[in-house]
Amino acid sequence: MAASKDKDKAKIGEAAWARMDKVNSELLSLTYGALVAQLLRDAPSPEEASAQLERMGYNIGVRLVEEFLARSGARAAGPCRDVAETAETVAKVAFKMFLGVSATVASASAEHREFSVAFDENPLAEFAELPEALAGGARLQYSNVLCGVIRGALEMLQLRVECRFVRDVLAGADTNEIRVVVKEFMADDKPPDAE
Amino acid sequence: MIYALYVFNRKFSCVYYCEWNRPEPSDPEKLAARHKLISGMLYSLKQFCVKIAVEQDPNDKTELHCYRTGAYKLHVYEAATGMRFVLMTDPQAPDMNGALCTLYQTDFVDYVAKNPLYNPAGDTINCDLFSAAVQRLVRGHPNFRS
Repeated sequence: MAASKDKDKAKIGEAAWARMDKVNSELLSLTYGALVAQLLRDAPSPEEASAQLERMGYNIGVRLVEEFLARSGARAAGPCRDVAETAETVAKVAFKMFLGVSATVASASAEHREFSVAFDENPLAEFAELPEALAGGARLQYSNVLCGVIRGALEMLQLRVECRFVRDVLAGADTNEIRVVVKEFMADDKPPDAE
Repeated sequence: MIYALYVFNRKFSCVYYCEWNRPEPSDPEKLAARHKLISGMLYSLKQFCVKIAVEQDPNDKTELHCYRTGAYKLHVYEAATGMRFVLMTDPQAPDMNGALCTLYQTDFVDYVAKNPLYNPAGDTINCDLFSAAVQRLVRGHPNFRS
């Protein structure tokens, strides 16, 4: 049952990717690289630049989620009932749809409060190389915008999470891994004067 | 006959409103009160629909579709992000959820969500392309006048 559902998600992701308008991936990675380089020049520290990237991602995520809901076809498969299903949807549908990469869910916690999204290819960092001073101690999270996007998108779906890169190919790891920790299941908003 | 379109955001404030086929334009003060009433009704009715459902699964298909009175019919489409699209028509109008769904999935996503000047945290939608799309959709609808 679970396995067939995973396959469904992968299929939904493939179909969504096929429907999307594409941009040239070199254009994307070079533009993103220029953006990160400029942020590094402007920010007082690489840590601050990483935080700034995350905030930018958040603002993207809160909008992008609308397109995800409208175009991914995930709605037809029904809403996600638990964090495990959300994780599958983020990895198999959302990553495929917007980045064209196949991601997998790794090391989900038993209580369903944490999971990792692992992916080998990262179109943002295709041509990037970090100098020793930035890579050491993970000072610059080059692709931190992705963490922000996940946080922003899930927040619009009443799930408050924290995301961070725990493994990054740029920093010498063998794969990319974003750890997502669920902080809160948010209640529905109420009208301002509801009793 | 189509009377009005409301768009509410997740905070229940009315971010877009447009009316048609009324003898005279609505008084702005009454309009604000009406927005409040509708948003309050949407909230309460949603709670009601979930509580009253036979299967106690909050994710089940309990969402409000439309309701009808002798004088009008109110159609609702709610996206998972809490954006709500409400259309008011005459009571004989057919199901309009398809139209509202199209409005969200194509026009709202393309012209509003992707518009850098739109603030998702609670701005009124002030976008000519979206307004034009709304007019096209509503005026072009077979039930616009009849």
